[in-house]
Amino acid sequence: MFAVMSNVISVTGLVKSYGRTRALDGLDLAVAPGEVHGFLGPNGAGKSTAIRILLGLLRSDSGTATLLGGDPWRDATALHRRLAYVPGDVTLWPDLSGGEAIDLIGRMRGGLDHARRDELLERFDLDPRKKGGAYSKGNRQKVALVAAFASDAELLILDEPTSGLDPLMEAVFQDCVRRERRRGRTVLLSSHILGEVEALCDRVSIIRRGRRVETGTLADLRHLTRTAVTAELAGPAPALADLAGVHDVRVEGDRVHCRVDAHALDGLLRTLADAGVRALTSRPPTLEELFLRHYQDEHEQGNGHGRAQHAERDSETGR
Amino acid sequence: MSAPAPTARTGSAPRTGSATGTAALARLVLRRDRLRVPLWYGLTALFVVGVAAAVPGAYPTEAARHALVAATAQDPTQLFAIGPVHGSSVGAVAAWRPRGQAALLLSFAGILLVVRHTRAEEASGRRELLGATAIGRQAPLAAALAVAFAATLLAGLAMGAGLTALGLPAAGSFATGLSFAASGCVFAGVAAVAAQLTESPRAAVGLSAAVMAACYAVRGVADLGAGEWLSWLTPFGWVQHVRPFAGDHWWALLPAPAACAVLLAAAYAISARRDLGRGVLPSRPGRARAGAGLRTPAALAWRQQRGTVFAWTAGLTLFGAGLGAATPTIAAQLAQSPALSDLLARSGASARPVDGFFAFVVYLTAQVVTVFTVQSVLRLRGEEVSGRLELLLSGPVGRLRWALGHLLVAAAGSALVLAGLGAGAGLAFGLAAQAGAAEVPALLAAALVRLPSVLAVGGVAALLYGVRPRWAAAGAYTVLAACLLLELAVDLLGAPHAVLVVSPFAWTPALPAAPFEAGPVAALGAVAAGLTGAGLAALARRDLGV
Repeated sequence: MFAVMSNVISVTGLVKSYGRTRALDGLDLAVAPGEVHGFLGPNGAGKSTAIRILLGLLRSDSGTATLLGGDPWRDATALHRRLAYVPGDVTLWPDLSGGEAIDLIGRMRGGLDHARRDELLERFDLDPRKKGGAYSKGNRQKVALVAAFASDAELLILDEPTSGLDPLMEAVFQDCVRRERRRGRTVLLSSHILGEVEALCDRVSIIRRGRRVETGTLADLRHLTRTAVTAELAGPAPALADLAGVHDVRVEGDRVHCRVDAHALDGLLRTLADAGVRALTSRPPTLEELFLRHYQDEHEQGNGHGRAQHAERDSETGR
Repeated sequence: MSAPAPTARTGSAPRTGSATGTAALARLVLRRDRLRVPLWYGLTALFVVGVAAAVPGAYPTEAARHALVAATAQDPTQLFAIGPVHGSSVGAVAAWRPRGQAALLLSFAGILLVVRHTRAEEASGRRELLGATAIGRQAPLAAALAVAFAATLLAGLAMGAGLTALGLPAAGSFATGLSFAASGCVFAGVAAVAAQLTESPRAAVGLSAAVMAACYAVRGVADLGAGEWLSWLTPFGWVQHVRPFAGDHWWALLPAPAACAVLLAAAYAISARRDLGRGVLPSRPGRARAGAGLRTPAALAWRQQRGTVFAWTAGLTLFGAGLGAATPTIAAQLAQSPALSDLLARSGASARPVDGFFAFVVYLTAQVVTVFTVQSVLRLRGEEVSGRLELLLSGPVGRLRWALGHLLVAAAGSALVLAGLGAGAGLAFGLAAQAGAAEVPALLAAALVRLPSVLAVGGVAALLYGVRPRWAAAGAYTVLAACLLLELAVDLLGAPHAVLVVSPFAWTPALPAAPFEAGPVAALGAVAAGLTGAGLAALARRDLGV
């Protein structure tokens, strides 16, 4: 549905193997202009491999990847003028100061905004005179963030950019990303921090084992999952388990607990109302539940096996 | 303040001291170096035994060996490179020929091993992970030194056993092996101190290697006639004063344990006082903004490598100057040197004997300079493995442009180092011989004409970096070592001089003794360019950072 808008990043069927390990197994990804796109998945799902292919550091085995309208491998140098990248684990040149590293990266990209650079140093509370080897992890991360936010790049690729930042700096980071979005830039944000994703991302893609298992807005994704309903009934509990779309029914005296698919909510409420409701709570799925469902391996899920398949099927039909 | 102290687990808690965990860490060192240690030390031992096995064939009679002893005593090139032969027995010759190389190899192995498991671990941050476990503050240093000492002594014992097995007297055999091991242990100690002083592992290796080179040069100058007392100042002098198979003066090794004790005490004392990750030599704050010049990959490469380039240039300029200053005093001996007359005859020139001496020394030193060149090329790999490359290449910097920046610095740096050697030797020799700067152009040319041969080996490193980055270091150093071994094969095994044709160092015209020839120099330049180009072509196609 976003294909018509000429995506900033457009990846289809991307495959990359290291020996026998298949890091990417037919990955699809579409990032529209001007959006902040969350890129999520458990450790080892292939997020960094995908980003490295987009940066032209790795060559894909098959599939296509388009970045800013160009080929990430062939046109790497030209494309890199228009993007800024923050790796999750920044290593700096031990004999260069942080300020020098920021200027160097900026100049190579074709110049950086000095006023913004100084403002960002201030906001991130970073001493630019320290040598690369003397920075803590969080401060190394800040060096790369300042270099990226002080650039005029159209696209920001951020690979777990806030690992090592304290909560205050995390807030500064979120401010900076919002400002970039207001300026019309596109951001691909790989992150494990759900609060950050919820606060910043317009859309998210979840990948597992080198494939995308879900994509859409957070509201879309919530819609695909089940609402938890607890009701205190006046009469005996009806046979809820027989209703289509109702799961995990548990009866405790006059209380029933269950989870219900969004489309079956109507039917459930009608049945409960017929039985006489004295109290009712319903809770939308938390983001955490949403992600955990995708992060968990289906083999470890026990009775959740069917649910994992359900998710796969949803994402198939979503494409 | 009134809160009760947390109750410590007592009774079963093991005794903890600053060396707790040394044994476990030593096992970790051995596990990580399970190939490296046996290869370095085993091959060095094999080399010594192999040379000894070849001696009876090369010098079959007492008369032949006697002639060698007499000729060496008159030959400044051999006196400088190895030192005098003590006696004309097979054992004495077998202990003499590999003396310089074996002592240097064991010393350098010790330096690399100690720095790799102390300062490099700290700089990488892995030490911090282990530091939080129940290991003592001194345990990593103690473990690295324990493995280095054990491996060095085992190599020495293996040499002794090997020489004994060849039928040489046991006392002399073990004196030979353990004398080489003594220098290895001392430089492991030097590295232990250097690793406390500097923050970067590269600087620690550089500092230790500089001390090693200076000690070797002092030994060489002492043997050129500057005075025997001078050679007692250097571990390589102690090695030589043991005189295996010619008296076995074990007591000459006594300074070695004393030096080790002093060095270790110093290393432990500094290590007990300093912060983790910090050195003793101060690291100054940097600039808040980059200088105007720092805007290209080549400028960055120069910025990263300039310290090493300057250090090498200064070292080799001093080395050249020392050599040049000593040369006039040995001019008379040089006239009678058989090795030089041989070289001069081969080069077909009617040059001065001192020119032959300089040609020979430059020929040897160019191979040492190659170590700089290969290290400089291998910076490419270091940048890629460290992850810094990823950040750099995410900007509009093509990987070829980045690689060319480093290769340019490697080539220009090698030229600078060679120029320092030539200029230092020329100036000092001219001043000592009261000829002013007249000798500078000839010796500068003699040094710089070696550049293409040096770059050819650097090209091997560049090619391997492009094709098989993991093998780049091992492969390039193997090629360099093979060139050195070929020399030995010609010397000892009677291999024809023609086999040297595969060594780029032998291709180069031996200036100032021989006339300049454009052909071989251009051919070497083409080889270097071709290898580098092939490496870059492979780099353009492969994945980075894996």
